[in-house]
Amino acid sequence: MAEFPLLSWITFIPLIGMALLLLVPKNNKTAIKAVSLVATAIPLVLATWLYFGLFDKTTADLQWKERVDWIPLMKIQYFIGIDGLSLSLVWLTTLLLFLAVPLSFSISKTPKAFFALLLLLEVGILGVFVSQDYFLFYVFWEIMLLPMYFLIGIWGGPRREYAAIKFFLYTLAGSVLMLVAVIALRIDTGSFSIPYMMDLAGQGLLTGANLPGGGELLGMEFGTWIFWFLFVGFAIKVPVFPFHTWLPDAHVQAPTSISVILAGILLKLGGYGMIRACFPLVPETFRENCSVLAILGVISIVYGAYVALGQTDFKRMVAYSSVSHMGYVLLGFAALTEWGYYGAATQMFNHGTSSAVMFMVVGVIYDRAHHRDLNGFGGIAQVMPRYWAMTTLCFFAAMGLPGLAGFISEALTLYGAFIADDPTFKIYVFISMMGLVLTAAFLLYAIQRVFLGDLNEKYKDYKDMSGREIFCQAPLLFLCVLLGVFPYLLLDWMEPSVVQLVEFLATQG
Amino acid sequence: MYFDYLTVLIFASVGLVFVFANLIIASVLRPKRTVTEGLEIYECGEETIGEAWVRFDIRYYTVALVYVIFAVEIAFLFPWAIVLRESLLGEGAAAGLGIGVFALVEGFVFIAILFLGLAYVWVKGDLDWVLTYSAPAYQPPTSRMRAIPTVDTLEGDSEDDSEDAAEDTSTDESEDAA
Amino acid sequence: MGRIAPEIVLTLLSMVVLTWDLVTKGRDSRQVGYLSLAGLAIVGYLLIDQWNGLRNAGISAEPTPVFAMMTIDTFGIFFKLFTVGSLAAVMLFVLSDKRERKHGVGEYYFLLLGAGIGIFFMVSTSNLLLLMLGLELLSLASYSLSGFHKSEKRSAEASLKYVIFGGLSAGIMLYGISLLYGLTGTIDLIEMGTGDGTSWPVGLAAQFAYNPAPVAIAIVLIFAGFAYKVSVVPFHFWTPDVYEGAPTPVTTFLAVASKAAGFAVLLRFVGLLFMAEGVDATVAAYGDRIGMLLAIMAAITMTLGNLSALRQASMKRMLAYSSIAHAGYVLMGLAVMTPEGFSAAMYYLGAYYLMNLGAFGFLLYFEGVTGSEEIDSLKGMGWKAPLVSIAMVAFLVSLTGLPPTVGFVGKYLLFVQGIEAGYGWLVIIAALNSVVSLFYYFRIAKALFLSEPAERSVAPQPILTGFLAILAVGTILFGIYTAPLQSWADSGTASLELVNSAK
Repeated sequence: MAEFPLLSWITFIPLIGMALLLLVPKNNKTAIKAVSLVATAIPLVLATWLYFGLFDKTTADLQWKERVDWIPLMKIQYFIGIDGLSLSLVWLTTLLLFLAVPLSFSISKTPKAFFALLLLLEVGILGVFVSQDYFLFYVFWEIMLLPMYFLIGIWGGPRREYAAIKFFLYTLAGSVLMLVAVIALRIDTGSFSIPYMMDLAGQGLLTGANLPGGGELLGMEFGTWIFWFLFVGFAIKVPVFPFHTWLPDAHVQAPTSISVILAGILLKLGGYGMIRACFPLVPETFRENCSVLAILGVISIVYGAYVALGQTDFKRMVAYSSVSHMGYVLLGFAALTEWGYYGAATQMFNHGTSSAVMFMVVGVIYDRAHHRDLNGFGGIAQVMPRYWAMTTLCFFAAMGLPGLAGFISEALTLYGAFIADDPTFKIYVFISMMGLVLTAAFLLYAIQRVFLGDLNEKYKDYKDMSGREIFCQAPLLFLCVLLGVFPYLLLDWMEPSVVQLVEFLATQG
Repeated sequence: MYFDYLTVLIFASVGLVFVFANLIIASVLRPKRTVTEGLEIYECGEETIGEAWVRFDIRYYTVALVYVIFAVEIAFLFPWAIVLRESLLGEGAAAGLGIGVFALVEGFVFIAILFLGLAYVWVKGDLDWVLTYSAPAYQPPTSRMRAIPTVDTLEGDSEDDSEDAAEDTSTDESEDAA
Repeated sequence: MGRIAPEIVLTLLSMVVLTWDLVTKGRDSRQVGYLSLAGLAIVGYLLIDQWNGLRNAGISAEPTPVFAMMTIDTFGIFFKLFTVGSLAAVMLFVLSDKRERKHGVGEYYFLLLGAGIGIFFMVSTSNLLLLMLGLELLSLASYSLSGFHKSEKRSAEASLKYVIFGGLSAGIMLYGISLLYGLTGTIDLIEMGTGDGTSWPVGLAAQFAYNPAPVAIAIVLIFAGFAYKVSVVPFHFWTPDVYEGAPTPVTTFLAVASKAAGFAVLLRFVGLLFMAEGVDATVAAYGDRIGMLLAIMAAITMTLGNLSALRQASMKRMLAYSSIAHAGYVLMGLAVMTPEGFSAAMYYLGAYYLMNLGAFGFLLYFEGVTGSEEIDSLKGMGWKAPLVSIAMVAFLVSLTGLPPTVGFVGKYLLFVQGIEAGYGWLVIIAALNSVVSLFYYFRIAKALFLSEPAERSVAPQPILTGFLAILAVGTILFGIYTAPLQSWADSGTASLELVNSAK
């Protein structure tokens, strides 16, 4: 369609930036920061241009496709493209990575290595969002892990080694199972192209007939094991309830900017992977297992919120709130209605902004107090009014207060689940509502403990947020408000893709 | 079809029975003596000194090994000679294969390699019965995990590495011999 | 004669090296090392020449037999080239490391070259007698090499263990070979596989139809011999001790060249016996059962290897166990009993050469720096020697099997073949095993980078650093641009002229 390989440029400019960064002398901190800023700013500009200018929002087809043979012997192609489902996430990625750079200016330990890894991470994330070839998708998926391991492991908190390897092991365990499923799909269809696999699945031809033994594995039918292998791989990333235990450790130990990226984007990869590369390939099995997914989603919502309520560590609380919020995404997917998908897709974006700000908020207070014990604060509002205002705004957005972004997505999700064909979903919606109450409870309780009450003498002379900190948070908060008022800024772009996807999932296969 | 191996089974059983039967018969028939001299290893009249587990001089082994190698190589040369003769005379199994000259050359190459081996043993001093050089006493290592020298500690002696190397080997050999 | 020119040159080279060392009375062993490297370059050139000749003649060209004993085909040359490469690497290790150079007298190079000659013969013959001779030549040289630091207790122990295990398994294997010879009347694998049973030699099929038990016993006995050579469970017990005790360059040779050569022989053995064109259907069907046996061995080997590696404090021992685990992965490619599976196994072996040479080179580098092979002693070293350490991370990523490295592509190809052949359970075990392996491989990365920078300064070792950097680039490059290695492996497998067995 397009001559200019825009998506490749967006994806690989950070890699070029990384190469340049390696040439910069270790001690020239200004140059290091400048190169990193520019290397993340260019993709952001390009992605913005793509979002508001170049992207055709009237069609559900893949746009800006690029398709080149990569490894002809194995029929692997460099096949990328975007549609309404991935566009907003690509943009969010470029934005958060751009903000992560100034957020990490205070890193003192070998900043060169830090920013180089950060840029490599961006390549991996963007690559996953644009890949349409399953092999390519998998390669990018795994490339992300390595920089993440080092970013948590080198620059993290006291238990960083444990958290880093736990994150790595969990994600790898999921993705090797994914690899097995991908190989089986490849053998069955003879191609790695995800759209092609979807086509076949839509015609009911993706049945494992080309595999020995009809594709049965360990006594499971082809569709069943493919679905669960892929789902578990993505669910670990989301993370869905029984697979979530890596998340609190990784989030708590990671440095602020990495927590922001983890919560803001990496979790979305799981949700995005499900709707791009799991459900559409085995729609029938997906429909059969909708209730299971919904139950998992509901458990995540309530359990995450409930555990968050009991945390005394500020960051750990925010981490568990992510588990809770991502539960809505799964519930929305499972509902199999258009509204559910709108809700889930916007929830991914809105959680990306609000949770990112929440982690930045934690980072701000941690930089000053060097601890995160919720019970150790108090009355901070008196010395840091701007900080208080921004925190409250972001917590309200996360809580789902009307007029803010979180409300739109949660309301859409719950509505979508309520009108689902399966009447039991009404029960799930009801239980999720309790999760909402719990969410409000832990967020307000946290605000009360940190900002209200008597001022602790220790914190008397704290400075309010610096310009750099405000610069990092303001755009995201602005988005929270903007999308709360004008949700169509997201919905319009994803509409054709969502409509097509839901129809496909509900009827095909 | 397994009956084809019946002969093997019978053979094996007869063999086993023969061995044990003889042992049993001997133990019944033989005179029973209980004098201690009868339990000595050597019954040649000499009294045994020490145990059988004494260490023999390493030189016996070296010479024995060298001997065995060359003795075995001779065993290869006999069939070679026969094949060569057949091939040259044009009679027998090797006739007409046209490997005469090739086999001749090959045989000499074989012998040349053997001679290289002999020269090696000679130069390395393994044919000397009297070991002339002295060596420091062997120090058994104190722990299983060896201390590995680092590059830093070796920095000093960069020039005469090769000298050290040569000395090292001779030292090692004499340790074995000592 | 020209067809065995590489073998002749290698043999002459070893003679010259030995003579040179005798004449100069071992005054400067470095000269001997440079001489050996130069000679290896010639051998490498001859091999590439042969390779191109065979490739240009097309795969349909008959592999050229020499004296009805050796078969010069691309399969053998594939392994010979990698052997030459790893021999050169090992010599480079010896030359670049002062500590090894102390021991690096002429015999070091002579024995390495001798082991190389053994490999050359065993990978290019279908004759069991010559195969055995090559194997023994390799083994004898390896025994002496692993005890090269003979004043060290550990090294001596390694040598003795190796001799005892090696002697035992060679005996078992010879017994199997003699059984096969007695049953079929030939020691040539091709004749064994394709003999029609009407005339002498009768071939395996007739004997198999007549009486399967002795055939099965013979094959299992021979497998035991191979399994020892490539350290497959339950014949792996010698591996950690020998690898740990042997001098590190020798360990590299044993873990890389010697093991891959063992696999080459195993591939040829299994392929010619069960999958060659004209093999009887009953034998081919029996091959599938052998495949199941190999699959089970593969599963046990990779699991045990990985689990044992988890708790090792010594990096050398850990790499030894990891090499056992990798033997399990390669065995997957054999178990599927298809030419494509063999090709995947060969690709994986190619990958194995690259990443293990790198990992052992790194071990050598830091042994010289810290004087210890404990993983803990590496703490914070990554910041002191960044280039080597980053290269090591690339090798570790590749060993774990993560993209974009050659190890990932190798594993991917093996998995594809496993699933296509219906060994889904084996693939899942292998996949989960790579998660386990991540844990111990990344203990090294953790020690290198996740700790505070070390106090100790690191003396630069430019040759070794450069070599490791090249290997690291190769590891990543072949992971992205896979075509060359893949086509080499494919052409190697094609020269065996195998067919898909009856599925």
